Amino acid sequence: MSARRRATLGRRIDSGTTRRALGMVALALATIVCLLVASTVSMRVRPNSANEMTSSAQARQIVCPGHGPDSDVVGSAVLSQGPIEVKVAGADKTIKAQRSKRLAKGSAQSSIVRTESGALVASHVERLGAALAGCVEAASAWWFVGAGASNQHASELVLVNPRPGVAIADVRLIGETNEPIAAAGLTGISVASGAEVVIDLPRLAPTKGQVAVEVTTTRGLVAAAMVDRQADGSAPASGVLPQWLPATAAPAKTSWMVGLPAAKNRSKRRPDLLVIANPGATTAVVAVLASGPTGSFAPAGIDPIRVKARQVAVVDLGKSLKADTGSVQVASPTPVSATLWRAGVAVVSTTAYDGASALAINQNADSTLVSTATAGAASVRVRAFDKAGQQVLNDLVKVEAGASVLTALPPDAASVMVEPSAAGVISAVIAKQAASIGSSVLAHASQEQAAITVRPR
Amino acid sequence: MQVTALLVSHNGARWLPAVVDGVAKSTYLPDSLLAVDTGSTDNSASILREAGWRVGVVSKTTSYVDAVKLALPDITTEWVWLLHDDSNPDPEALELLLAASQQHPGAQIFGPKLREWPSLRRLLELGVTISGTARRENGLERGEYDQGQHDDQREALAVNTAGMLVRREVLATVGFDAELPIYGNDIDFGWRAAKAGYRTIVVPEAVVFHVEAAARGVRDGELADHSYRRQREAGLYTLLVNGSALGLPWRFLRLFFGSLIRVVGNLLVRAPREALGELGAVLSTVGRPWRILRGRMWRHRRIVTQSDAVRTAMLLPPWWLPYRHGLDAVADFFSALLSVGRDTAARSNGDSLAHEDDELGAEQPGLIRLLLRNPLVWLFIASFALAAIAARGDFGGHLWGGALPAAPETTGWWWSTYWSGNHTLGTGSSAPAPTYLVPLMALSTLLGDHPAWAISTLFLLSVPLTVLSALRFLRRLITSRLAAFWGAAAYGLLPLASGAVAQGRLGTVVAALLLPWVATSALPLLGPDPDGRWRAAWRTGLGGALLTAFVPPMYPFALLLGLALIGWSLNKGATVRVWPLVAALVSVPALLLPWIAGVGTNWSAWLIEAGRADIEFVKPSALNLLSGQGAGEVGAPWWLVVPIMVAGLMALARGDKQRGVRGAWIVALIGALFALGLVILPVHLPGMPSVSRAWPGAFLILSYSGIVTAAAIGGDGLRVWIRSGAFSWRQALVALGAVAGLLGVVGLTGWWVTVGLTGPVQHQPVTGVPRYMTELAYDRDDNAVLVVQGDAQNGVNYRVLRHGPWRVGDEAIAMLTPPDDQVTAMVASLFSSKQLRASAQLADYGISYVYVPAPARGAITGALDASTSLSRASAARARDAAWRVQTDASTQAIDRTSQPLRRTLIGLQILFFITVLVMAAPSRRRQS
Repeated sequence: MSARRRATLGRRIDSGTTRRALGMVALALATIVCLLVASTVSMRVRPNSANEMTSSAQARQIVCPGHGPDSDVVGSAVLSQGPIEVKVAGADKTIKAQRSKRLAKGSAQSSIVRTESGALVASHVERLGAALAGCVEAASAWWFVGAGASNQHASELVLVNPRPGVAIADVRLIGETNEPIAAAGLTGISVASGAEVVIDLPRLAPTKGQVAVEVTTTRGLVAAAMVDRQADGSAPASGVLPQWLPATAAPAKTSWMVGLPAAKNRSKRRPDLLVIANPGATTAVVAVLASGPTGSFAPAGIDPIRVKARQVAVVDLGKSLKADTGSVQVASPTPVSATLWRAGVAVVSTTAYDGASALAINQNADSTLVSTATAGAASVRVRAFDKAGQQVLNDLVKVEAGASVLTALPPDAASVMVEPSAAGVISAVIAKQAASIGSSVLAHASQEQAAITVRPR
Repeated sequence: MQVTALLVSHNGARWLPAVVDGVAKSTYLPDSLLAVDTGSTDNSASILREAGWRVGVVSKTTSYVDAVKLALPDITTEWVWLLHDDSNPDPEALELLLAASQQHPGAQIFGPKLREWPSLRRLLELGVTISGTARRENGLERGEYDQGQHDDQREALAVNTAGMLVRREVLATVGFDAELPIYGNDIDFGWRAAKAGYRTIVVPEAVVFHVEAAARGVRDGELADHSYRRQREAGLYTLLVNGSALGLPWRFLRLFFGSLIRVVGNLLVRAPREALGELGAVLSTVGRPWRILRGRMWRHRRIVTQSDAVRTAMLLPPWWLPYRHGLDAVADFFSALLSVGRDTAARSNGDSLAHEDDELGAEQPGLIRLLLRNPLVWLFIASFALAAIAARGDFGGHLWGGALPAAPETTGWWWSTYWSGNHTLGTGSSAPAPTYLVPLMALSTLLGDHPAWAISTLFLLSVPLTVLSALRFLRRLITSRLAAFWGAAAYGLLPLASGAVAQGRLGTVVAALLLPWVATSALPLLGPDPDGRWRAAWRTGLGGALLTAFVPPMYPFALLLGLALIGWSLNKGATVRVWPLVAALVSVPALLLPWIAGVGTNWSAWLIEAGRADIEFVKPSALNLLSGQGAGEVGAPWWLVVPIMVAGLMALARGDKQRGVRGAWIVALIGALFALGLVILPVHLPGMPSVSRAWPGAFLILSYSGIVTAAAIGGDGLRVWIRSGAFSWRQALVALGAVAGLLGVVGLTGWWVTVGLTGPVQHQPVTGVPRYMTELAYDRDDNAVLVVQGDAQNGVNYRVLRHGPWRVGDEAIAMLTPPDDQVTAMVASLFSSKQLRASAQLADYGISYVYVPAPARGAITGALDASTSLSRASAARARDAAWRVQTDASTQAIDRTSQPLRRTLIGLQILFFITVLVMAAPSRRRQS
């Protein structure tokens, strides 16, 4: 055989072998590629909503605890597209859209406003004075920070059960010292349906200084409110006009207290008091930030505050907060809850919710809206309506991240509505009338809570 | 003394020349040679005539006995020597028979020793008798060689007519029965002779070589057709007509039922022709009772002297003989099994034994010693020991978690789930129970009715069992023991390394165990032996059905593979291979009939495997999938598993094993493709709350099994291969692969023993609802628990747990059950302000408790607290909440109608299963 033929034969054999070898390598590569492709396929799980059902809208019961003969319950329908039917004290009332209406005159008893609409916003408004407070709905857990259980600072806890079925609640107090506060009558408090129970804290669990109160239900849901009386100096508190101490948000790592009244209301006898409650098991190191028109800054002279486990810390802020501070933030790795007392008005930490919020405001007083962007920057549309439902204000306010912007409300505004463009905006109304000041956070529609979606699993 | 040789021939030209030659060479020549030819179509008559026989030709329908009867008048001698046309006498046979007749003057019938004609050494008969089951007994072992062990002259009941020396008067007076034309006439003759007082002696010195053409079915002719059936008929007839009149009814019944049992027995050993013959014989005997009566009456009239019955009875074999035969058969079976095991053990020791000194002789080492020397045994022991260490001795209690529900308390639970067509599970369901409950039931029964142990065994001993299963397969493929062991170890660690064990993927764990079994069964499908192919087909069908029961998507894979093989076989023209393949493919759905019928058009049911399909798992990354893991964050770290893939890749470089490696990688590719398919296809199950993806783990393991096989083939004979050629890059690659593979296996073993079993699957008490609710609900239908989870913003989801938390098998039914809208509306109404009828409705569904696990949100608990018909009950943990329904529960609202269709299908399934099992059993050697 010639050398050339031998070479050709050899090459042919070689190409055959090479082809087979390449084929095998291709086989292996194809397998690996398959596996790699499989990793890129999105395996997102889509919920199957075919069999969902929604329960019918639950009746809402809004509780406005009794205040006295001079405060009224006002309901506002600004968040609603249409009229809202309410039932108060057995009487049916209708609130037309965008209007506000007085639902109940002042009484010492709590008023329970029943409605099916999630858009109703009710609040307590002082006829004489600037005080105002939002009404609440029944829940299974409540926090109040900055209450008192002593002669000089007396608080009464009001528990109302607006729902069918009996409710059973436990009350826990945390004080400024690490002594556990235990008292008979604080656990297993039974509140019948539609009934109201008032718990006199100084009598049941006398404690010095500021206390934080936690209410949890073991059965049913209750609406809780705190009536607070603080006396200056050593006089007993019983003679002082009561204030509403709103409920704070549950302890969280970041808390915002929005709606500080004007700084000039500060007095030497009544300094700014920051009350922080730490219900956790470890010491909390709390940083304080003051939020002004341009952003949040650490106020000079306020060091990080150490709050021991299961204790309340009270810090006298003096005049550290600048005049244009609209809200205060406390942040701590351990969840805490806080209240800022300014001139006898409690500004409590609140949670930011998405969506529109509204409030019926006190027409006697000069009201200013404070909007704080607790997350990113947002633009907020502010609208105010008078009693007849006419729009008297329509403003677009830009708020920087962490900043608090004030918007003055016209004198004839009966209700205010705020629609933020982004999440994390908290708005409050601060009111002033002569020597009386008030502050209240706006309330949100609870549309989504009216009906519960039920799905099989 | 004069002897006439009487020969009856029918188409015996094949043997006649030798026969006449043998007679002609006799040392004592018969005085007369008489032959009767019953219409032979060949030249039998002329052969006989040429040899000097007097031949009388009669019609071809003349039977043997009729031929003898016809010839009798022509016989004038004292003695008659009966011969067959296929019986060749030894030269001294006649002389010895006559000598014996001198020695035993009291006997009239003498029979020679019959030996097999072709081999000339095998003993056929030395006198015959008949047992109580109408079986012809000759007292010899099958295939016994003549070594002089039966050479005593003795009395017998009868002797074969081939070579029988009988007095003419006995032949005339006793005669043959015309009802027994070909078979059994000798026994009947001898029996009647004995009754008449005549004696039969067996003379072993006289030898006649007999072909036994009729009994073997070699003889042609109408009367010789259906030989087995006619033999049985003859035996039954003989027993019934000759036995004592007193025992007749008992004997009749015994023979009837005994024959039926023999029919079944013949079916079980895959001898359908014998079974049909048996059935035909018993039916024809029972269907014509007048034959028996006629025979008895004829005998009653003909018997001359009533000989003593005792002596006759002594000539019959003992009553326990048939049962001893049965015991012998069972012992044979087990010794065959044992000898197979011994052969395997000896074979695997072949390398070492080959070096033994052969002069020591053929002494087999004892079984125990063989076992101890076998490295397989040590692998067995080592893997079980490691498994025990890895499990930290934690074997008791319920093993569950992740995708594995808890096992029930008794096997009866599984059986009632499987058997019923309508389940009260949840809110009532008519979905089919999964077929994998049947093997689980079997396993649990084997372990003493402990379902929890069955599940624990499958999971904790997953590695050892899978290793052994894989070893069996790999030993068939490759010769190198080390490579096979490595491959088995690598494959056995796969279910663990892929996280299937830790996640509780029951389907994948069992599939990994079964895959090598099915592969081993399927290997002979392409082999040369037809019987082997069919047996392999049935075995593969059985194994495939078991595999599909646990992992249904395996069947489409097998279908694809099978169709490809069928196409390839047809292409190559090997059509005989097609039918076994088809049988294997068709038997799988046949064996899964009830489940398939129940699933109907829910195609997604074919995508999910055993175990919970609704658990969430982390999306696997590319490294996870390359390590055969179907989910992220479970299983071994990728750098322990990928070396095995490296070994498989390096095997490609091995030039001489390309075919095997290629085949293995093809399997790997198809497995990966199927895994990809499972990942892409969305799963729409009626009972699943979301549209999700199936778990691809089983196919990832299948794919990896191909890679492991490729690596093992690549490592076969590695040392020899490396030493053979010059050092090249190929050798370097393969060596690298071998090193990687070894490191991978060692690393995985270490990982297994240290952290391998950590995962959601734990030994833990069965939770999910408070314990007292589980206990109250376990056996009853009216203590169901409504479990509600969620909050007001995102909605709540609910589930009704009828008998406590789900057990193994319940999840498959629940996945196929569409939710009941009425129940959803009922639960929604619980959260509405107006829920007047809610609790009554709950009670109608048998719900006695409502349970909200932690965290129980206020809106939910408040709504339930507000209901007047729910009262708080004790919850297990602090943040749970539970309520008791005040109204008494009943199960009115649940559909309980029975489903006869399912029971029918289960019956069919059992029938198929037994059929396939019988067909798959090893063949029995035919009785010759």
